Parts: sequence; structure tokens; C-alpha cells
Amino acid sequence: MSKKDTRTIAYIFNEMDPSEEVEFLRELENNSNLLIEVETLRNVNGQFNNLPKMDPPKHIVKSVQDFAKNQKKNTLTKHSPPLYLAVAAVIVIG
Amino acid sequence: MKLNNADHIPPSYQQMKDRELVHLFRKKDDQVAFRELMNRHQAKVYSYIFSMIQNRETANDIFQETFTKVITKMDDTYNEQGKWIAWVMRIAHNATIDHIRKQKRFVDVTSSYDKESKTDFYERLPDEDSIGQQEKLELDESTASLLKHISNLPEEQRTVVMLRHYYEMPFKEIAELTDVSINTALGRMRYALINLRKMFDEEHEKESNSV
Repeated sequence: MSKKDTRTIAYIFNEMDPSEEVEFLRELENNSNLLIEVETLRNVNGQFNNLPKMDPPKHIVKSVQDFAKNQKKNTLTKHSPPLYLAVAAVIVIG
Repeated sequence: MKLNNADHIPPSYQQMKDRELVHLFRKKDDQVAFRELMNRHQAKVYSYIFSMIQNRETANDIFQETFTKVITKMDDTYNEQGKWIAWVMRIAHNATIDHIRKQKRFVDVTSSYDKESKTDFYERLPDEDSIGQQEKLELDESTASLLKHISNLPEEQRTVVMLRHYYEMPFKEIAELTDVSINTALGRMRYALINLRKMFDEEHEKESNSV
């Protein structure tokens, strides 16, 4: 798809450079087909506002949080030697 | 860290940036920080997965799989310079696409082509899945119809639409996530909107013919 074809989308979604936008707006004033395309696609895009935002079920969130708790605990136990080993090392070196 | 009230998150956490919360969780095992991160982003991630799959059970599995990977890989593969949620969305997206592709692999496309509706099994499958889900979610008619049409879009177009809608992801990031140029990502959105428009028109035509 050429860049010319995708300008409409960049315009509708506010992803156009300011200079590009000025040029596009100028063209929009003189090209009724382009204006119809913008309005049509904008209208379809507007329908997405009806899409529901869904939260995951509570038990799923809880199980992820539990996993995070246990995983971190395991990682810390694996990587951090117990305090008495550190004390013993200091005594031996000392 | 032990919490007295599992649901309470102090306001100070709510004011922190994602990267500060990630840092607290990674370095100090701060579970409240992790919970705040989830609170902020779980609906976007879950909605994206659900809108792609349109099946509650599978969406639950993929959501869990995503966050299991996030937790186990955060120390090794997440670079704190990048946006955490973009990294999470990449994991969610990959898991979702993996699932869709695995599902497709089990089906013989040619034998399941329906001449009457001019659709193959893949195109019909999400519809069948989504009917039950829509009932459970008690969606109004127009939303259910919109979801049905979205599920009939080709996977790459659906991906762009959903990443943009639920995550408000810039097209540059969508392009990076899906390994295409920005122009291709913009083009996919354009085709998606044109296709949806056609589907709505066909639906209206059918409705007016049946009256």
C-alpha cells in the first residue's frame, strides 16, 4: 500500500507530522472523495468505542500474584546465601 | 513482604511511574509494586487477548501464561530502559498469535471451505466461539455484532485494530511488535476499517431484505 493510501489513517489517528497535516488538510478541502473516505473510516473507527474493556477474573489475578510472591521468594533463596554463611566467611577470613 | 490488607495499595504507589514500580519489584521483592502494575495494565492486556481469541477460558490461560513469563523472565530479559508495558504486550501478543496459529494447524483448510458462505473453517471458527462468550458477557446487539465482525478480520488486521484500541499503541510500536514497516501497519488498519465497513453494509442489507 502506497504512502498516499495510508495518509488517511495517519490523519484520523493523529499520527501525521504537522507539515504533512497542513498539506493533507489543503487536499481535503479540494478533494471530496478524500473527505468521504476520512469520514467513512472515522465513523467505523468510532464504533470501537463500544467495545467493552474486560478485567481478568479475580481468581486468575490472584494466582498470578501468588506466583509472583513464590517465584521471587524462590529466586531470593536461591541467590542469597543464608546470613550464617556470610558470618562464617567473615570469621574465616578474619 | 506480608500485607495486612490484600486489596489496599497505598496512594504513594499509585503515583509512581511504571519503571519505579518495576524496579521495586525486581530489586526489593515489593509485591505491592507488582500489584499496582497489574492493576494499571491487566484490563488492557486481558481485553487485547480476549478480543483476539474471543473465548474466556483460553483468554484466561493466555493471560496467566503471559504473566508467568513476565515474572520469570523479568530479571533476565527486561531492560529497564524500555517501556515495561510494551515488553509485556509483546509477550501477550506472541502468546496469543502462537495459540491462534497452533489452532489453525489442526485444521485442513481446503476440506472445510464452505461454498455458500464463501468462508473457510478459520473464518467461521471465531464466530462459533464468540457466540457463547457474548451471551455470557451480556453484550448489547451492536457490540456483539461488532465483535463478530472483528473476529472475521484477517489475523494481522485484527492485531493492529486491537493493539491500537486497547493499548493506544502508536503505529511505530505496532510496526515493531509485528515486524513490519509503519506503512504496512497503517495499511492494515486501513484495510481493517474498509473490511468492517463492508461487513456492516452487508449486515444492514441482510436486515433490510429480511424485513
